[in-house]
Amino acid sequence: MKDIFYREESLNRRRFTRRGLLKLAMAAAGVFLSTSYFLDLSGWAAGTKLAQEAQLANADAAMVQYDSGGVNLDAYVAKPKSGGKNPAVIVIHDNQGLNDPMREVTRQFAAAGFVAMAPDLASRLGAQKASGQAIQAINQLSPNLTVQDLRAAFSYLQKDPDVDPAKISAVGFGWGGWRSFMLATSVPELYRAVVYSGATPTQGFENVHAPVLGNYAQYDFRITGNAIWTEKTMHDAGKEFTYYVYPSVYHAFYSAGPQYNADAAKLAWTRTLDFLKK
Amino acid sequence: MMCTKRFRAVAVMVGASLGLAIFAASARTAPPQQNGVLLAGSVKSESGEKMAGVTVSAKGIGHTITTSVFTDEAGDFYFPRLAAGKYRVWAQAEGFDAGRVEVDLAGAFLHQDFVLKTTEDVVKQMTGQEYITSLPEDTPQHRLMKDVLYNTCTGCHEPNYILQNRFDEKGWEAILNLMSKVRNGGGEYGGLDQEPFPVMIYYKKQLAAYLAEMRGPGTSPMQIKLRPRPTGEAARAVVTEYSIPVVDADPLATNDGFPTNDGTDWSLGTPSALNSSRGLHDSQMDMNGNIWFTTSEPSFARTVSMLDTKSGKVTNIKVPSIKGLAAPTHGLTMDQKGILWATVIGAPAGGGGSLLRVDPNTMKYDVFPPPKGSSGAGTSIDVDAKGNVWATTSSGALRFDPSTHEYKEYNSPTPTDNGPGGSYGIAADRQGNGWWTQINIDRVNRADVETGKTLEFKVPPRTARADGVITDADRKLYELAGVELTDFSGFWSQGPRRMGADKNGDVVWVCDYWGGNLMKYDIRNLKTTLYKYPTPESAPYDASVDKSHNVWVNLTNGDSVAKFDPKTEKWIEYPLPTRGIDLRHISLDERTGTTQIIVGYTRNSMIARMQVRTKEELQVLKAQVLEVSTRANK
Repeated sequence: MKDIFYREESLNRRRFTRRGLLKLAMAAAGVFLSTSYFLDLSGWAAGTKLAQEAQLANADAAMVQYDSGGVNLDAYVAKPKSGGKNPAVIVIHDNQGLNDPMREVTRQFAAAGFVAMAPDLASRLGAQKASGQAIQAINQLSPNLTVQDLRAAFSYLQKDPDVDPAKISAVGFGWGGWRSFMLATSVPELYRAVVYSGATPTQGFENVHAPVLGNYAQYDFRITGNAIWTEKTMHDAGKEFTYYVYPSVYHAFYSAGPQYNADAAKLAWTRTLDFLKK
Repeated sequence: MMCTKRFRAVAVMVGASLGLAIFAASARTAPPQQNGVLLAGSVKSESGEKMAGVTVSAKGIGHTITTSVFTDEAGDFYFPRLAAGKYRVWAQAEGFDAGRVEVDLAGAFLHQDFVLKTTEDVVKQMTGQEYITSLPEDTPQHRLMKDVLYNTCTGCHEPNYILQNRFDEKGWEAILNLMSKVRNGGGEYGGLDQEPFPVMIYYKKQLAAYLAEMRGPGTSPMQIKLRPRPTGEAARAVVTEYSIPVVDADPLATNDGFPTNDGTDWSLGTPSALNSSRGLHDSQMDMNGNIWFTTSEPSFARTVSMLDTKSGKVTNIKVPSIKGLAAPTHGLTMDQKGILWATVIGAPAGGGGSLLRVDPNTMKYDVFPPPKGSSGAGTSIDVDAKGNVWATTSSGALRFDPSTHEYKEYNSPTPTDNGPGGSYGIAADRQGNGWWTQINIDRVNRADVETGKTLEFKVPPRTARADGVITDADRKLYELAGVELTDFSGFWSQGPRRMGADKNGDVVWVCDYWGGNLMKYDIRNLKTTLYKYPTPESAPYDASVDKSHNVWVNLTNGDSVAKFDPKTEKWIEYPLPTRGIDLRHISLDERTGTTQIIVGYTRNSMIARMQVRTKEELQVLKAQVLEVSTRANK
């Protein structure tokens, strides 16, 4: 926890400086921007804004940096206020990047008793980006490198004194779903993996140790259609795989946005928590 | 410039400049035309048999225009008069090595004979339809795999693209691994994290074993069934093909700016390079006799282009899109005033969803953005009798009034915006009502402009080869995978693709791509009649109706077009001279009273126009040849 708070203090100072500069620039340009607009644009600032919201979720949250093969990556980490050894979950964002909904999910995991770490995989390519830039950056990322960065996140959590290292799981959304499954194929110590609307890797099933749960949307045919093949291949390899198809919902049913479906999202969330807590 | 090396490689030519004594004595004589040189001759097999229906092509050296004709029942061919100059001339028939020669056309007439040797490997020459027809259906597993292959792997490219190759099981599995991660529509490899195509990955092992059995290192159980060579009316066709420079050509991926394999040499197999095609799509002849075409892939130069049919020169119009690109286009048609209309696709910020109006006389264009809240114009476009423009959208169709610039939107009763696809083909009937297909859910819709209501027709399912073999697990797979993915077919899908209205009649015609049917919708009583194409795996794609009510259909897997006469209910198939052409559209030109068929070769970057000579026209030509050859022999 100390490390996180140190980071947050550091960030607060940085934010102050950036904000001051921005105010000056705005004044010079005669432009008025609301604070909330600024906060939405700035990932760092948004992290702090949402840290305040974390209080409401009975969690502590902050941005951290962690090492992946010599490269510093950003991550948003939320912890239960209760303290003690907790199970952990790596929250893997979708192709919209580490945005408000992903941070919200991360806090919800903390509120549910997990140390939740959401790496900003786009940060490998530089500083925090506004949402449009984050999507562009994500498209440029090497799939294998993102998995490597998630393995580094796993190592980071293993060393966290607040984490029970035997119970570190991964939950990936959309674009992050494949990465969650890939962690299962490449990290034998992974406790469990959850895939929301994500692709299945085409190989490596023999290396899977963690049980895997799939939450799929009916109107997400190319992804959901792979559920049967995934189930068969996993079972043939002697591995645990369970999946649910949520009827009449679209790919991003899990996240705030035009495809959000409250009922399906709630049900999937309950199943996910039950699965992770087993 | 194209093909120089290939033509020098093989030449089977005998009997140059021999006189022709075989022409009918009763032929009417006609005064020889002074423009151009006559080129005629005959084709025989090594054993001396006259060969009918052989494709004979001539291309001016250094030029981009190829003219092709077919030998008649007597094995003789007659080119229309060609401009003097040096040509490569070649004769091709399935099962034979091509005969090739370079000639200097000068004077009045050149006689050129060919003797064709039996080839050692016919397989490379085959059309996609021939491959599929040749796959055995003797066992349940063969039937299941034939269905899976056809339904899964032939929606974006022809079957010969696959089956011309031979790999062992591991090799085919590697191909399937790669192909399963191709992106929808675009054809690019989607990367490691791309979700695989569910049906392809599910059957991967079985399919790899099947392909290795059919097209592997060992003996194949395929029974090669070749299409008969054209005879009669089909053999009287003249096809003029224009090689179109590949837009933004990559010098490493092209042959001086043209596809490295343009499909004109059948022995090279069907072209498989997407990079060489670059999206040439719909084509339409204007009132001046020039052919316009759309380009569906983003480029820096082409939104729509005009091909000068006399010189072969291409002039591009670029409508600016995002990032310096030209806005890509897809559907193309012409209204009663000779104005061209196209659908703009691609990024909404770059004009995607708009209608594009081009005046071919001034080359000026206007862009009409779609109404707010609409997904905008998509794949196909047509014009009704009142000049209203109809275009498909993802949720139905749009009607645009060019005089008021007003749009009206019609929605399909069964929406398909819960998955890929949407409306595909469109046609406006002579009552002013719009019709469109939903290929992915086997629906045909009609919007009644008076009531504003849309009526839906469900296309009856086709019979699957694998009926009786398909398990509940197979069904569940297809259900979850959403067989309504546009470029895939379920076991029972018909796949109504593009369509055409009889502007002088009361019928709308729809092509069932997967089912291999032509469907007739009577616009008065809404009665539906289904006509199965004799080889359904030829994959009818689009229909266009001529002034005599004949329906012209492009057969994607046949590399051919076909004419259906509704009175006799008979088909005539006209094979085109080039392989792997991926026909996706057909249009007609009837300005002069005769019918010209216009098609774009999507994968080969070519445009073709086909005219069918009457017996009388051919007789006149024969008489001219007889006259000049007799004069030369005196």
